[in-house]
Amino acid sequence: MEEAAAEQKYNFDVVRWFAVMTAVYLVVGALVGVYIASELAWPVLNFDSPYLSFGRLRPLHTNAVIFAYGGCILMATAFYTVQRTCGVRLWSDKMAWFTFIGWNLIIVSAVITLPLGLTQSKEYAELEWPIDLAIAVVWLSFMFNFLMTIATRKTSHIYVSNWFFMGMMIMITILHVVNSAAIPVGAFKSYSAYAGVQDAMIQWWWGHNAVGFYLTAGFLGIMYYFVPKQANRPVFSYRLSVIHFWALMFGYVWLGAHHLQYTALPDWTGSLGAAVSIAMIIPSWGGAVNGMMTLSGAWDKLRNDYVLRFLIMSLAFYAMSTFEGPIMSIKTVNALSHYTDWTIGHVHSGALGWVAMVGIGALYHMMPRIFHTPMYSQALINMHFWTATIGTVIYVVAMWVSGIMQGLMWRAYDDYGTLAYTFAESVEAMHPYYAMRAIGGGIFLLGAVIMLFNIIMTVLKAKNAGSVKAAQTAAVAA
Amino acid sequence: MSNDSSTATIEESTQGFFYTDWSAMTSHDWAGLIITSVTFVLMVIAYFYVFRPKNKDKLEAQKYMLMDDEPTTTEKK
Repeated sequence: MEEAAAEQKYNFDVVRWFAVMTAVYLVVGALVGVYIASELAWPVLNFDSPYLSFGRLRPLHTNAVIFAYGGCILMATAFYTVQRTCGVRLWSDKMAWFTFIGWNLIIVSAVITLPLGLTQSKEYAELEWPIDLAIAVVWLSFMFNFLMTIATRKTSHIYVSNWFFMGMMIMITILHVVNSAAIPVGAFKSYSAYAGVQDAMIQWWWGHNAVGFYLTAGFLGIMYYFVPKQANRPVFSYRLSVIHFWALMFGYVWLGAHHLQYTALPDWTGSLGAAVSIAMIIPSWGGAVNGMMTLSGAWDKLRNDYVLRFLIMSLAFYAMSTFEGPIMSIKTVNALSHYTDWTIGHVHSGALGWVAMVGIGALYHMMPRIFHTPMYSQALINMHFWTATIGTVIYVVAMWVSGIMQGLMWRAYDDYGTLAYTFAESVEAMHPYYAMRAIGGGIFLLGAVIMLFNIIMTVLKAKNAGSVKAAQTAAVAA
Repeated sequence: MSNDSSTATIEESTQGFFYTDWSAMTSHDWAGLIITSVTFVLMVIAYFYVFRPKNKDKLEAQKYMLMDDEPTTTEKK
């Protein structure tokens, strides 16, 4: 009866669509990722086609996983949690549908333009200016609807997950507008408004904060709602969550320059970026510990709650990658790690281990509650957990070994002061690890396919049983 | 003797590292300095407020609102 009341009170329709599309885009994004990883191991897979080349498909992969998968799960969970924590329906159903349709059209336009080579060549902001404008409009509709829902809430307090979502929305708006400022010279061609080192600085101010606010703050909003809900226990420390939020908001914006150590950027900016990166370990670990300690006294739940396993494993990866990143930003370590596969390993321990897993956990939590039927198969969720975990570990370990080997080979000198290895020799040495990475990614992809199958079967089960319709029409107490 | 000279070198280099030509500060430099200082002060205030024992019960009471499907009166007056 409670479920029926929630169904009638809140807008779960748009959440349902975002949820299903999340599972679809995770498969698409991971599939393109595995394909381009395989191209690096076996270049014959290029098939001499520019449309299938690594340079064109790589931005398609990053856009698919970040903005298609990441965007859909953020929008699904933000719309779901803001209603439940504020006790009111979304401020505007029509605006929510505009956000859903608009965001998906943007994803379709990315799928078309990126393989055609239409790009601004700005990392994680490749899409050309007309699409950038569309992103700004749709993102603002998402933010406005969210803020207005909070403004009309029944609760007196705004729960911490909503703070994280709001922080993400405001900062991503500023970052996107500033970074994407460009001068159009044609329908699908533009040049950045910045030049030289300023362009690089703005690019990595955006690049790292896309990680910091979109892939971290937004997903922490997910964590602070879904970990306590799935564990059925309040978060370990609310005070810690408040400090976590403000430290993250104040700290993250300074980090971008650590991507540009040993470049034309003034030396002190890189030092500042590294220093603040180290300082950010404190709130990051505070948040990770806060999430994990929510299970304090109830660790046995991990034995048979597969969804909780995803959420807690994601926090372990969050803690690991937020320690690794600051270490890599230190100049001495950066001298070895930069431009190597170590960076790729670090990014994927965050992307697969943290972002993907916490989103997957949230998705599995929401599905029974928005379709009003249990998941089709618990065994498949368990299987997904192990494939995702094993795939991530294989991927990350391969890139760590490969990256450190690359760095050491590039800096090795012989007795005469000449380089000990040619670049081609270092490329050849990478082959086994590139193959291992493709296999790890393939295992992760298998897990994503299992989830999509499980979700489709759950949707069909709900449709055949008429559970959504029944919840919408059930008589509930006023 | 060598210890004295190395100490002096360290002092000189440290002074050089922290030396600031205030007259050469541009408007961007001042903006950055002010934002950094204000941010630092705000963070100190945030830490003080959150960890002040007096505020403990008031803040921790909020964590239970998630356990209630129909949260309304969540703020401790």
